[in-house]
Amino acid sequence: MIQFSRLTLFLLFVLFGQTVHAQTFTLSGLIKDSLSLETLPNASAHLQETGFTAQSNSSGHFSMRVPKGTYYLTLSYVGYNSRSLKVVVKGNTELPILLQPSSTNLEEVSVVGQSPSQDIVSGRHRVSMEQILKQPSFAGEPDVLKSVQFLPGVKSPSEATTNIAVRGGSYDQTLILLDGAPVYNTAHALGFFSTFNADAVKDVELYKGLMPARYGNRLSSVVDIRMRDGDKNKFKAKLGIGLIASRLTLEGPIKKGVSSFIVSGRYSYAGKVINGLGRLNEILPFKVKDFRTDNVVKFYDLNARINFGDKSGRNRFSLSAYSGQDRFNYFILSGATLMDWGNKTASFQWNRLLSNRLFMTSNVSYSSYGYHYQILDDGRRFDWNANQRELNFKSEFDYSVSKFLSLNFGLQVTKNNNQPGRIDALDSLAVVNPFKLPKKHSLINSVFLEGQLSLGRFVKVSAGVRQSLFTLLGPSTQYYPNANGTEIADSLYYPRGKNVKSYAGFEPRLGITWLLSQNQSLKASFNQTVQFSHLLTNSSVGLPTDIWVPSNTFIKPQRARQVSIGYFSSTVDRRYSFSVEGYFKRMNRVIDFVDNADLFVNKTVETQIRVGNGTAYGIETMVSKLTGSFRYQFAYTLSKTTRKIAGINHDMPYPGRDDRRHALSVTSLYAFPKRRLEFSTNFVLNSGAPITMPSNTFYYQGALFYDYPGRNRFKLPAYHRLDVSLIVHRKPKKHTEASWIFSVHNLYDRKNVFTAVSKTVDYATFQYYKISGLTPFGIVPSVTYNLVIK
Amino acid sequence: MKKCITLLFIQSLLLACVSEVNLSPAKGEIKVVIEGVLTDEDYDRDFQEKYRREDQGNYVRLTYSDPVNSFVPYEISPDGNNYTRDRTKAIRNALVIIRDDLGKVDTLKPDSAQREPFYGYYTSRDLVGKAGRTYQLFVKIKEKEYTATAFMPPVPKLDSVSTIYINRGINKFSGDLPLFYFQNNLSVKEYFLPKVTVVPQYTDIQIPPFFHFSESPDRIWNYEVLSDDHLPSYIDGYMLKLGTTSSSYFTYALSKNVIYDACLYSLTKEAYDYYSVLISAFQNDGGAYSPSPASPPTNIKGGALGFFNASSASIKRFTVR
Repeated sequence: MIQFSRLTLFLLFVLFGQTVHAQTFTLSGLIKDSLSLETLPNASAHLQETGFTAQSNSSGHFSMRVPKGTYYLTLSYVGYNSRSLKVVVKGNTELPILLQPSSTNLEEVSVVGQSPSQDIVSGRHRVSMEQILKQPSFAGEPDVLKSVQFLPGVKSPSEATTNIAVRGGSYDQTLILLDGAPVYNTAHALGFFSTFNADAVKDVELYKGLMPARYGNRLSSVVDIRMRDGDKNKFKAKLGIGLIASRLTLEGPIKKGVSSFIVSGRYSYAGKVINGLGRLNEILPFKVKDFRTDNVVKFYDLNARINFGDKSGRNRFSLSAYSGQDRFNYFILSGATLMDWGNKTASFQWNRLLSNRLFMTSNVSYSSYGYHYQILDDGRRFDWNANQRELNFKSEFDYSVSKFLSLNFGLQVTKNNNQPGRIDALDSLAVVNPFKLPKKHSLINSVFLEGQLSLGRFVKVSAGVRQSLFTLLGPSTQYYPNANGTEIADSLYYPRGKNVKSYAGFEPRLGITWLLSQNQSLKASFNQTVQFSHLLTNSSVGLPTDIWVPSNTFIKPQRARQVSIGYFSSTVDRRYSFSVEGYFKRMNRVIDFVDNADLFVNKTVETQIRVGNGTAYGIETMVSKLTGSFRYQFAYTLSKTTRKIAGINHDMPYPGRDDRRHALSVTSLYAFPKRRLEFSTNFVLNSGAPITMPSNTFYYQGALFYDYPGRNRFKLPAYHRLDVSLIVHRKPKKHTEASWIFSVHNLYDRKNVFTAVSKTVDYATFQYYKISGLTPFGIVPSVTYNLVIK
Repeated sequence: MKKCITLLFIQSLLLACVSEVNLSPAKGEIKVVIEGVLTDEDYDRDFQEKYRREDQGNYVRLTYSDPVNSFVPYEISPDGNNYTRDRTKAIRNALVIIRDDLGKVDTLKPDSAQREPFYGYYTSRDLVGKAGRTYQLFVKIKEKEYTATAFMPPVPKLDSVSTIYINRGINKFSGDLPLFYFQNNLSVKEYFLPKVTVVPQYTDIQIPPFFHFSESPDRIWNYEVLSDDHLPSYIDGYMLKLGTTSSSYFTYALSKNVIYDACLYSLTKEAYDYYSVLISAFQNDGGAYSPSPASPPTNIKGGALGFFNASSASIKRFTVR
């Protein structure tokens, strides 16, 4: 006789009990933009009667199990008008759902998506593309990552950089994906702009709290960016001409209503503008310091994507690609160096509706990043270059088990090749032997399973686990550390394909949402994450020459555990929302460089690293008004982050690079529909960042040098600025829509200290050793002209 | 109206440039600075004693550090002819001893000149360096003791020196730069300090070469170092930058008809690391795009700043015609 435990019986009842008591059917659909027919990922489908909410997946598809009956289904998506449908379910029901973008007119607008109180995933934010395109932006370039910086808990290491540090983690702990492919260096022009052309982006999602189990290999957060599909109904061209860059986007149907393409390019001539100002400098009767005529600052981005499906509608395919490149020499920031760097990604995705309850998404992606670095006036005359390549395969399944439970599960395989550095002779005058560091090869195999479970109307649980196996492969010479991990004690060569070192990563994820009412909830989450790739960066803001290395015998995988608890609410009409959330994060095996680390093509660079712990905690508050002619968002974070690493800062705890106690941002948008005007503002106020400053000066062989008491012990002055933007829409014509965008970055010309510099100043009768703060720019106006031809 | 907007726009752009603001770091504890230099160069000690060059010869210089952002006035010497180069606080009553590994001990005396800019220098007429030897430094200041050990590695012979004319373009660097030719022993890890100095032609005290007084903070330091990593077995024309500045571009050129000494000094790894950190401190302003700055590593025990270095030298005299 078969005996069942009580637990087994309970699980069987939960999974299958409803089939005994009530017949359930699948209610599913594909959510799209009503005009362009773009699919809308992460849209919410909410059933009022059951309180159940499903999210559309990356392909815009959602499904849920419901008993027979009549329901009101509310669909919502950030930047679109919500829509309620009356649905009669008598059997499996599939709905084509079209949502109207809120930007089609300037009347009562809505950017609200799902109510945050309903979202089962705490710490998830969706940034509206409309918001990104309408916010004031630096030099008139809308920037995806800079818009993310206005969210609570998200900081940038410095003024005018696109790297983001989330909840006390460093910026290499954020996984940034473009159509599923990781982007390793997201910075143009040393971080003044990001590599994401806003005209080509459809959706931006940030996970900073509970990270879904389908994401891994980063400790702190994920920014998942999806490209637009292209308009499936009509051909369109969009042209944008700005102060430092211009953009052109072409899109249209391949087969109307079924398949589409989009190609979007951006080119920056910032260097020519700066050099032009330098020439103006020479002509004007007064000298404006710091503008020269020999700078090299240029970059481009090119995004392309095609989407097509089969006649049955059960299969959809997309192929997307990105290429971007920078060339940079700006004398103040890079001295006599010339840097060349670029990313390339490609992604092929196959979506298949296997059944009305089971949906598959399979993705193969390729990422590469590489750079060249030259010191222009160096006696050795060399070119230093490095690159990183990654191939990813991921297959995931969304399965509606019952009206209480849906599952997401799958597997992922990542192969990584890393060339950490090589030296080539620059020309015939070079006195250098070509040399290269050995390549590093690694493989990460992961499986993941996550379930979203409704325990009654008021409690929702998201529980998942990700299990990874990391393997470092030969050919490789592995160095083994001494007892305290500071020097090499031994080395061993491993031939091709041999397992050099393996690490397992177990990552449980748990989130609980307790609905206090329809519009109020308490959420708690626990996240354990593991990171096998490590960024060796020796600057605060990141440089193109930063090196990614896989875990090895010296550098073990980093691990973090984060808990968070928060209260979320919105008004019934979701016009206003409020949230307050506290978090505590403990990071183990975080890395930092020793003082005066030697990174230059160092085959034992691991000896320059020390490993320790990091702690971060804080409380985040956000108040938003997301509908109406006047919208705003207020975000405030009070936080602290420290590191304690043996061998650094005399073994004492020191502030993390992103330790800014207070961070406030206020964004607003006011639409004047009758005048076809939109006015927006950003205000940012942050505590000063920690930096390392000297306390003493001393002379050695005739020159002045500095003595430093410790790391990150000095705080820069507080940072604040106000940006404004005015969009003037020309009266739309039959085939064209045009607008002018006038914006001013840093309206009141605040001298925000970007970095500190130390100089000696000689005068005829005295000498002054001066520590100064450097401010990169004051007020920056810009004008952009946008034209859409359709 | 359009012209006004254009002018305002351009004006705003011109305002949008890099500028500086004053910061006030915390003041730190004053420390002893020990600058110990020992070479095997053969030089005229009488000439050296009378017409001391700050960075030549064998000496130990003792000074105190200063807090940052301190305002340090120069003094003009009584004869009105010379400006002081730095105004560090010299330590004048210290005990300074150097001992080699053969047991020879030499007590250094405060420099007899005791005039600007030579306060704080301790020298000895008997002290002679030799490649392959290890030297120990002992300093006692009041009741505090400081020690250091330095090995003097051998240096390859500098075979020859030539010059090359570099022209970077209008308003950019143009001039003659030296090229060094020497053998590199690939079986041994070697580190070098190549340098060019002006051979003094005058009998009066003169301002050292490459030192200049200007309103620019872009001072040059006549030191650069080289590791034999990635160098071939014969260095067939290594181009010197003639010192280090904050900009890292070529800054200075050789002058015609001036007699120069091309000097190739040997360094230990420790000394190379020390000089590398000092050189990178010129380009690394500690800002956002630089590594976190830190004090240079020292081989002096006892809590002093500075370094005790012993170098062997190979010298070739040349002139640019």
